[in-house]
Amino acid sequence: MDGQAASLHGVQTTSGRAGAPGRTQHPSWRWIWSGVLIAALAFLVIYPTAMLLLGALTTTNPVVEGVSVADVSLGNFLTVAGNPNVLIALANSMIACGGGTLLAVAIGLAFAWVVVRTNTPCKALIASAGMLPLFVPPLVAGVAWAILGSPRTGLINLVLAKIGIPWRFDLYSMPGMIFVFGIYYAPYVYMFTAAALRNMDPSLEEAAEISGASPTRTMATVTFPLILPAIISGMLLSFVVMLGIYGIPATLGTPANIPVLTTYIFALTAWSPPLYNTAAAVAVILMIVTGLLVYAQQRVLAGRSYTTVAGKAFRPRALNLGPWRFLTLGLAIVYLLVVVVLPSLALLIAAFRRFLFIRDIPSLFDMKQYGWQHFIKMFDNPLTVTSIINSMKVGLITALVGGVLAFAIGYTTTRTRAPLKRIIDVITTIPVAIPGLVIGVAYLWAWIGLPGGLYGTLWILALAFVARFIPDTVKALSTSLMQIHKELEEAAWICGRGMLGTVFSVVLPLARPGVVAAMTLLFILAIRELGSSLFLYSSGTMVMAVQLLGYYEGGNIGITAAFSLVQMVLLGVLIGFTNLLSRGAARGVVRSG
Amino acid sequence: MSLLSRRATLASLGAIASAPLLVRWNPAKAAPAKFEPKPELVEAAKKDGEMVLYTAAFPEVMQDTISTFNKRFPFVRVRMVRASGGQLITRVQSEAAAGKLEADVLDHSDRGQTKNIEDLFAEYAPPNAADYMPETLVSPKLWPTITASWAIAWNPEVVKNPPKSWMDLTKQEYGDGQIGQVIAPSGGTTWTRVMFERQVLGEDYWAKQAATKPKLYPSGAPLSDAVVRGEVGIAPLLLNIVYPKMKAGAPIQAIYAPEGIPINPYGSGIPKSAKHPNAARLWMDWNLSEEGQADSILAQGNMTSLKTPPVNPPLYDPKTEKLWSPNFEQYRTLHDAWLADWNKTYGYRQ
Repeated sequence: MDGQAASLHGVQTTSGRAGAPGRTQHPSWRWIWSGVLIAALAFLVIYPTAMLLLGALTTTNPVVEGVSVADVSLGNFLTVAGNPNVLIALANSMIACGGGTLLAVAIGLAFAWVVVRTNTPCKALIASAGMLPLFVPPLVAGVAWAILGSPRTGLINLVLAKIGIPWRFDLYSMPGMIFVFGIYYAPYVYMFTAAALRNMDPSLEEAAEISGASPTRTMATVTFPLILPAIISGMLLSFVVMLGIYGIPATLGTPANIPVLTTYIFALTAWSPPLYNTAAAVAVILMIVTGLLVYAQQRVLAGRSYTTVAGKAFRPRALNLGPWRFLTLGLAIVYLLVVVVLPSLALLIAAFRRFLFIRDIPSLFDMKQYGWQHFIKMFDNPLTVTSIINSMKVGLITALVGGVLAFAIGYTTTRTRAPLKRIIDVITTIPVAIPGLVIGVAYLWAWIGLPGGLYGTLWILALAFVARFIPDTVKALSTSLMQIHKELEEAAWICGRGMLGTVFSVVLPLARPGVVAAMTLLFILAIRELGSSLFLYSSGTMVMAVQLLGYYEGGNIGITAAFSLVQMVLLGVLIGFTNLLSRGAARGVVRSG
Repeated sequence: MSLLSRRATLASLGAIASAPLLVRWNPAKAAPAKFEPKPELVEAAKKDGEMVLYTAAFPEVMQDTISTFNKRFPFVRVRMVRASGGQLITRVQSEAAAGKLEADVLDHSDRGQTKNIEDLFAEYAPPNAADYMPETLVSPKLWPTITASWAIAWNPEVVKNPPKSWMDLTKQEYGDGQIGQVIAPSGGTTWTRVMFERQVLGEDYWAKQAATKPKLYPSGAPLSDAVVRGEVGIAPLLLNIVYPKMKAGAPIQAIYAPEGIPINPYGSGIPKSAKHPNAARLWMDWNLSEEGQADSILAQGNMTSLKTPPVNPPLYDPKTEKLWSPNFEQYRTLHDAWLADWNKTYGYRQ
């Protein structure tokens, strides 16, 4: 935030004042609290990560062969470092995810601004529809866009041929991957930035305008700098999530022989025999890259104040665009058409059409080719319903347990002076860097030997999901928590409230949109998560992501699409329900931004 | 297991290290014999009530097999865990080491991998053990419940002059990405096919075929889908991926090539730790019986490792076509070096 903006918004942090967080707590309690959090994170994050590192430093399965010091070597890293194909995959990952992130930021930010800060018509509907890509598993997104944009058989190219345009789309390419990454991860940026824009006091912008700043200058020097943490958090999260995605590069990059790190890692685990130790070494490289990015993010944000929610009540300001509001409406409709309507149409065609060979446009409308056969076959399989029920249960457990843990961590690291909070923050960030395909086997290695009946239950899946997505959830929550001015808590303390009382009566209600958004995000991510499910599900705990992969690997795109539609509808209904529940004190971030 | 069948099995296993199998089958039987398990096994399986199947086969295929099994034996609930070959082996090894192996039966397409974990399996042989081709067996504990076979598939809407032999796949008229290929390191079935190509079709076959610039796919299932959609016109594929689509009327056809049919017998067995051993034995006995193998052939388009097929497999002409199964010793020893050669020849980045 530059000096001008800082002087304009007039909000200062209040650290150092009497009654600051933690002052009323006995120091030993603070140490105990930090110890409890570190113990939980040690079990969820450090232990599996250590198993992963052990895997990367040896050539054995630590559970089967055990580990001795003599086994430890840097052999896997030397092999990986000396393999030019790893460098090619790394470079491709950087280009695809970097390009995708830039596109996601451009779209997500613009979309958030249109929905939150303008009087564009139908914006609530636009906001809801714009979140739909979040419900679509990446594998399905890739398949949908392959159906649309394949150079040989893509539906868009069939239409172009029909109307006599010689140019063809080719999504089996690096630009194709960047495009699909960008549009599918724009909602991440949108979620962060829309929440921040909504929580921002409009008097800050009004002050800028009264001082003579133009709307563009106000946006550039006040609005966007104030929501910089949200933009950077959304950007970082999008980038690292893209780095770990397999489905999109597998469907769009592989046919063009463009390997990225995840497809390379997947191949290492799928080859016969599997090369998990080498995959672990590649994953460690990915961790280092992500670690550097997180460090860079913290350097950028260090020493700046982004407090935007103070004690004064306000309503988000909607900019009156006049007739231009129809232009923003038009752009939003084009975005929705590209991101939601076209791929959904492709999935609908795939789900209802007997076979996906489409000779020409007239054959696309041959109704004899359509029916319910894929849905009938899908529900004939008892595992389909079992997987749906299990996924809902595990999603709920993950959202509740993960939400509580993330709030505890987020509050501790952003609003208290608890000891070791920097270490807690760093440990929390670790899982974001590890691809699910690799961390899945690390969870198996780490937790299979635990006494008791945890292995083979839904709880072990939920624990893995909580661990895997704790960085996403904490980041989503921290953004909301960072925006709440400390004077609100101080007021509660002055009125005699204790620490917990203040959290429940002041912080939690104010951060409620962020909490609901974080738990909803956790629920969605848990439902979609494949990598860690693959090794932890048992015969009684089949989940939807594994079942979906089974259908895809069975080569039946029709059932895959049908199951994806069922999954999307279920998630849509559940999220709509969640948002209904969260209405009242605060509007749901996911529903309306 | 009877003394006779055990002797027959051991005698059969003595032939494993011999040359690769290249045979014509005996003529198929008029009808498969009905599977009649011993009443005491049925009663014991009823008491078990359920079993857990770990498999690397396609889940839809296995679900169909489970449905057919349950029509005969509805009192055994089969719960399935499915994973790709490498992931399944990792899971089995880790669970076994922790004393938590859940599987009552393990099905795996890579016999080399199951052979490596042979110690985990209990002694088992089906009642008709002596009827199996010795060259397809790698251990007295492991049996080919599934025998997958390679065919040449194409989309008739896209390809008007389809290839008729493996050698046709080296012709430039099918160049420029018309052919799709599964990468050789993908698993035991593909490794079998690439061995066949080099050993039977010639040392230079890969180079000639790679010169047509085929599109490479990570596994057979997405490739079969790509053929149906017309993304690629032609592909060598396992018939058990193609045949159900053909029966359903999809735009895909297939032939067995005259130079030989590479077959990949699975290595399936019952772990020592099985909690439902009788249900597992009933499952294995039924699968390996003529009745079970006939279902595998007719419903899924598989071959069989029985010396005399219980029914004539679809597309197979016993007068002209020969089965090919690799020498198991070579299957294990040539693996790494030949895959490296294949990757280099096809420009696959491993």
